[in-house]
Amino acid sequence: MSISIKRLMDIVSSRTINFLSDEMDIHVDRQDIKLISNNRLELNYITSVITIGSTPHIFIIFSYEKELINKIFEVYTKELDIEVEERAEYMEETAGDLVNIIVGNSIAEFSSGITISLSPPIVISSAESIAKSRAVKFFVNDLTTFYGNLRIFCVGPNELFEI
Amino acid sequence: MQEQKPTSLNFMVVDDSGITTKKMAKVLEELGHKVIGVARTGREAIERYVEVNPDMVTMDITMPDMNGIEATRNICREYKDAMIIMVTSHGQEQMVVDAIKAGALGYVIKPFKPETLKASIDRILDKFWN
Repeated sequence: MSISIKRLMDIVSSRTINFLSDEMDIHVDRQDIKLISNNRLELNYITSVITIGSTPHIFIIFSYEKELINKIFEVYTKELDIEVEERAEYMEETAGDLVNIIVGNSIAEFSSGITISLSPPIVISSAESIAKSRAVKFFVNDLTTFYGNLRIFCVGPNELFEI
Repeated sequence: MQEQKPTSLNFMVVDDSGITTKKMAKVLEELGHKVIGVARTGREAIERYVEVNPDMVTMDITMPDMNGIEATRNICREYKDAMIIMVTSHGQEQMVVDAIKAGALGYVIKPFKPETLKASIDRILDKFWN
């Protein structure tokens, strides 16, 4: 699999902005995309992670502020009866569903005849940060909405960051 | 197989996300169908298929344990009249080809509108009953 992480980040960001607008009626007011050199990534309230491909692994991470994931959950489940005791579990599944749908849709633009696999999403709550090794780099895009911030991270080996 | 084209089908929904199975059940019920079984992994789908004997299955692709294409291949090998629609976020052309080769009769990309799923169900029914 030979891809530019910058291109992947642009496609995932664009799909995310469109998804939030079209499916959730949540509009992104500002985005700030940058390559970061910190060894530690600051996470928001709830975080979902998906892996693309097998070798090398690329991770796409969506980290939502609390008010934003609450709003997304409210819209995503508006026609469902959710019991109070199911709420936390389904909110995590909502975070997982979003990264799965958006990244699944995005990689169609990369596949060009080959199949690129995706892992099932995993969801992390109550984590404050992720540390990175020197062998990987991060792109981050901070999407600002009325309901709060969504941080999108794209993490992969150094050699994929040639722009 | 019934002589007349059915208007209400018994479905099994396969997806590792509980919230997606709930949403899918709601859509199918609104379209006049009934969900008689749910599975959360590919392997569970194979086991549940025998138990619940659904008319049609909606099948996710990315799942733990065994993916939906592998599960579809297994079910279709054993049950030649199985009717399976892939419902997945994967829009890759090759993934569609793989799913059809495995035996899937329809392919719907998430997020989807109810009318898209209805059209896929109708196309399959038309193929067998017209």
